[in-house]
This record gives sequence, structure tokens and C-alpha cells, in this order.
Amino acid sequence: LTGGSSAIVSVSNSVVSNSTTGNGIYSNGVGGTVTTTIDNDQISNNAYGVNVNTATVLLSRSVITQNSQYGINNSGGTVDTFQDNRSLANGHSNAVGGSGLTTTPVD
Amino acid sequence: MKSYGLRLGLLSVTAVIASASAQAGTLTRSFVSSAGVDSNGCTIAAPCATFAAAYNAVAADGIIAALDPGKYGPLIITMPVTVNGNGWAAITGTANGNGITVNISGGTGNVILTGLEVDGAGAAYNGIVFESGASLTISDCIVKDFVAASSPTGNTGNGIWIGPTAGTVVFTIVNTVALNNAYYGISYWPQSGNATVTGTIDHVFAAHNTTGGSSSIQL
Repeated sequence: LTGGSSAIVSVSNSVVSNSTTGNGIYSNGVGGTVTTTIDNDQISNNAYGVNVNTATVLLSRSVITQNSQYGINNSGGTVDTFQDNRSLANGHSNAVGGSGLTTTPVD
Repeated sequence: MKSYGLRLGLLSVTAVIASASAQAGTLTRSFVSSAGVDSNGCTIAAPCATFAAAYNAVAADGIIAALDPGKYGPLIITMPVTVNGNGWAAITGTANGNGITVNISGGTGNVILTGLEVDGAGAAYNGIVFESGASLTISDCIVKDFVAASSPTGNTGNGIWIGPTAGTVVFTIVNTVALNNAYYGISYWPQSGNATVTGTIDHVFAAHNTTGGSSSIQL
């Protein structure tokens, strides 16, 4: 992004798959502000499933599987998870890459 | 420098196409058909052959509709309009160009694109490009097979590229497929300016993008 640009975007009820050399969903706030809500998505067979770079992601009810690098990777951003996702069989023994997750209680 | 030159090239392609579609018409609805002729009035009884001609015939906030399956050519949109392909209209982007470009001066006006197959045929750079306007709604569309220039910077190889440089913008993408695009399937990436964007992506299938190693959905 460029200085001052901002985005609030939701990705819901969608399938993001088979981008085997790249990211399924890349939330990139470098140079601006990006907040992404990811809800009820299937994110599979990418290199990175959800890749966050200096952005805020709200993650819920999603299936994240078979991504060859990380299912979720967080580089300097915030990933709020509602703890109701299914993340399994991703690379790096299914670990979360980078800064980890922030858990958010389900209302 | 290479990126700047590439943008100039894209603008040149844009200018050539826009020169054929710069005037607003008077119809509230215009039509295209595979049996149409661009010298027609673009009415339902006398449809045109291309979206560009039907766009010239329609007034601001009008509707362009495809009457039957066909390939209706790329389009530059500079006023609010609805383009309804009814699920059987195809657009093949020109080599090194775009399928549909939305660039409404002043950042006003709403554009709706529905029922379109926008195809890069392995030669065009972007499927749908949103540069300026108040809102863009894309529903029931397919964007596929767009290629990136060498050393891509995000302005080529996109199925859908949301790249406004100013203003407050709303985009909605629903029931849409982004497939086999070289850089991004769907991208929000303003390359200059300070736009404020709110977007909704729902019931989208984005797959087999990123042959260049980028992302299916980039925000």
C-alpha cells in the first residue's frame, strides 16, 4: 500500500486453494492500514494459507489445511482467532509462523 | 523505471480503447448480440456487436445487456453503468491490456458487472481493473488466464485488481471465480495515493493463481 491508504475487507464463505507457490489469502498492511475478516472459508493447498504482514486479521470458522509452508503466518501483524477454526496438516508441523495468534473469546 | 514504462504502455492501450467509448448515449438500456452490428442503435430490436458500442449508446446509470452467447470485446467504463452478461457474455482482454477498466473521474458513480466471463487468453494483463469510482459490484463472473509482465509489480497478472488512488471506495465481489491468473486472483493494491476502501468478498472461488508466487487473494 501507499501512505495513508486503508482497507477493511471481509472474505467469507469462499474457497481459496491450489496457489501452490504463493499465498491463499495475503493481508498486507505495509505502508497503510488493512483489516481483514476471514470467516467460514476453506484455505487449502497453497504455500501459505493465511499470510499476514503488518495487518490485522480476524479469523473464524475456517478450514486451513494442506498448505505446504504455514497454515497461518503472522509477520508483525495481529491475528485474532475466535478459536473455532480447523487448522491441520500444514507445513512446519502445523505451527503458526511468526508472531502467533491472539485468542478472542467467542461471544 | 521498467514499472513506469509498463504503466505508460497500459495507459496507451487504455487510451486507444477509450477513444472508441468516450461519449454517453441516451438509452436507459442498450443491447449486444452475437448477430449484432455496431452501426445499429443498440436497441433490443437492433443490437450492437460489442460492449464498447453498446456503452456509447447508453446513458449514465444505464444498463447494457447481452441477448445471447457471444464475445463482446473489452470495455473502458468512465460513467456509472451496469453491464449484465446474463451468464453468457465473454470478454477477451487485448494482449498486454485489460478486459474491463473502470475509471470514473471524480471518484463518483456506481458500476455493476454481472454474468461475465472475462478471459485473458494467456496474453492480456488484467481482467477487471478498478481505478476510480464510488463503488464496484462484481457478481457471477469468471476472471481467468491473465498473465504478468516480466518482473511484475502487481499491476499485471490480476484477475481483479482494485487499485483506487483516492477517495472512499466500496467494492463487492460475490459468486465469482478467479482462476489461473499469474499474479493475484483478487487484489486490493493502490500503487499510489491514499484511498479508503471497504470491501466484501463472499462466495468466491479463487484457485490456481500465483504461478509467479504471489497470492490468490491479496488485501
